[in-house]
Amino acid sequence: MRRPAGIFTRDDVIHDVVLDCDAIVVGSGAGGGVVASELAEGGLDVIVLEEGGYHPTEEFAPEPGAMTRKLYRDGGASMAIGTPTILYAEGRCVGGSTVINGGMSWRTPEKVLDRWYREDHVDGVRDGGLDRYFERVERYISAAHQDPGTVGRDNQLLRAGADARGWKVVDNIRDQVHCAGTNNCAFGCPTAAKRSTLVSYIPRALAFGARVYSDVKVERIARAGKRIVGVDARVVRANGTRGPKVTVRAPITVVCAGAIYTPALLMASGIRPPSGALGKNLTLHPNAKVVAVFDENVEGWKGVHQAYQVREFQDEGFLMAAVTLPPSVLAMSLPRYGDELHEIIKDYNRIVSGGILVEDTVSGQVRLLPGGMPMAFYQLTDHDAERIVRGTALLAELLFAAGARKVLMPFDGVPLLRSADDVRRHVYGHRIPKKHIEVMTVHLMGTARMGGDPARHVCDAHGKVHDTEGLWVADASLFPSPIGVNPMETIMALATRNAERILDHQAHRRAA
Amino acid sequence: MKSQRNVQPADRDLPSEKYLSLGALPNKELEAVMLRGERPDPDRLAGWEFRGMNTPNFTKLLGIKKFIKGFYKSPGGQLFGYNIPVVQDSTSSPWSYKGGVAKQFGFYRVDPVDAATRDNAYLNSLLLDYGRGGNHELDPTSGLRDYLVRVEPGSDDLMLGKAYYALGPLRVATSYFVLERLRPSNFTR
Repeated sequence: MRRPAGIFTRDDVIHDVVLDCDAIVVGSGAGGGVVASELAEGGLDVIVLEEGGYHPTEEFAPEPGAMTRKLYRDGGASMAIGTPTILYAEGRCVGGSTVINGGMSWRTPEKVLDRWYREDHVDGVRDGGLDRYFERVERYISAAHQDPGTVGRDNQLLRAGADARGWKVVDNIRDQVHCAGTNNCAFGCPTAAKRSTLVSYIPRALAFGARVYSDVKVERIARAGKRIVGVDARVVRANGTRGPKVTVRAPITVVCAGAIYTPALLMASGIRPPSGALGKNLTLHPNAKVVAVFDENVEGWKGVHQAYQVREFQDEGFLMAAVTLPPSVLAMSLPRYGDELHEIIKDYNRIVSGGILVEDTVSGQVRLLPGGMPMAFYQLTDHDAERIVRGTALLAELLFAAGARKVLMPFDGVPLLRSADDVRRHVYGHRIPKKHIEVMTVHLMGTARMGGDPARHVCDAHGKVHDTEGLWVADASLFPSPIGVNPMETIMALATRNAERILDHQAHRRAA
Repeated sequence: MKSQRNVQPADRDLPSEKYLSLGALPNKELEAVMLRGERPDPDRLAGWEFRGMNTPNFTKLLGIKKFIKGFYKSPGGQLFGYNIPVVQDSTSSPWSYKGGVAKQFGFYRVDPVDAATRDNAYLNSLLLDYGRGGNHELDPTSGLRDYLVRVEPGSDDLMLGKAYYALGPLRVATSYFVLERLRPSNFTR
């Protein structure tokens, strides 16, 4: 495999190594990729440590099994424990979750930024305070609307249903350049049209001299008292076992390992910010899926992944979209078995799979299990469960309005619906127990929340971990609350802002 | 020494309402103030004495509820400080030197907290290290380690402290205390 200069893999580290640099970045996704690039451009000697492998665009293919093993943590089947148990997926590769997400690039809603300012004392974010960071990010990831002609029939039907109901729909803005609509976003973009950090920020970081060590898992943050002095890591061998030691020493460490592994790494390293909030405040935008079968041949795999979002109910805290899944993944996630599952899957070519994203009102937490494995715990509230039921019911109505012949709801015990009347009869008319709802997510947030009060927040408003020296966070762990839209651009903008602060901090240190 | 233009001495005789209110807060709220507080400016402490009050009631029984802390600079420019025992009467009464004369004891050295050292409980504070204050090695005050923060941003007139006692590598929290600017001092050692 040919690799760009500056990318190292397990094949390059066959003995224990000790490295020195100015700044260590743990993770290479929306947070890590951006921070690494910004710090390297700012003149720092940067080393990125990424637990996952380096997989260039040429390796990406519509092979869900092989790709989930390569690109996802735990093969994409991680779980948050609670009622119901919630399946979640995270990227684990160079580029992180930006390699396997849909690429939606939305700025943080102003009402959310206003809330962060008022309730969490996150200064400088409201009244356009983040605009210049958003603009910089959008330029580097090429955030734009789709080219005409790349919207698939599944998304056209979603739009038709919303139009029939008179509901507000927006064209998605995505990190793409002339996306051809191959609909393989979740398994790596095979054309590199999607500008994940793998093909945007990481090459930029390399160009400014950063080094990226893939297949290297950071096990512990090294410290002298409360001063962070580096990290202790291990090569991850191809069979998953621990390989040679990688010891990196630097005065700055930025952890960007996501909302599960960032708090886990801090906890495992004995870092205990005084707020006691580390690992708490987990929010995850619960998703639920509705599958509709049409008479026409939809061929949902043709066309862009999520061309539109239905925003009619954003003030109620949920969005709708059409998301086509490969047959194997769809079959695995449906609440049906045997003949009933066959009844749905045999019509795969005529299926539109839609989903809702709920801005949740409760939080869970991440704890370390004996042995150091993190585990997420999350309890869906009655209020959020009601919104999932209402949101999916409205989505079913939309799909019937678009011409669906039958709709499968994400609830055990609810029969296949054959009309909008059935929605009222079998969904609105019944109380659906939480444990009967199929919920999953790809948005995990909040477990190292930022804010101006060390007594309540883990990090300050620029990601510096309270009550430590030299330790920063730059990922969705920072969010004080869920944001109600796809989080990638918010993570990237905050990471840009945090990097700017780190560079200022470093300049002051050098001057002193 | 930097200008002390912004220093606003409190009433010379009586503690302010703000001072007494702070001293009456429960420990949980005092802890939050410690976490939120800024590091005081050493240059604005030098050459001043502050009225001090330990917050736990048991300190009244021990006769150490009220005290005075002073700060001075060594010829080399390093900030140090001292304590002065005062009459243990009501906190609404003036702070008067015990016996009518100032008797300095319990000396300490003042530095910003170093994150990499053992005494690093509050990185946002000044450390008053009695172990480096030049006290006799058998002096029990040598084991004290105090942390000091501002209560209000930008002001060094009212400060909150937290005292620990060092027992080998262990640090035992003993009390919170509040300080209010009292009077200039020309003490040096």
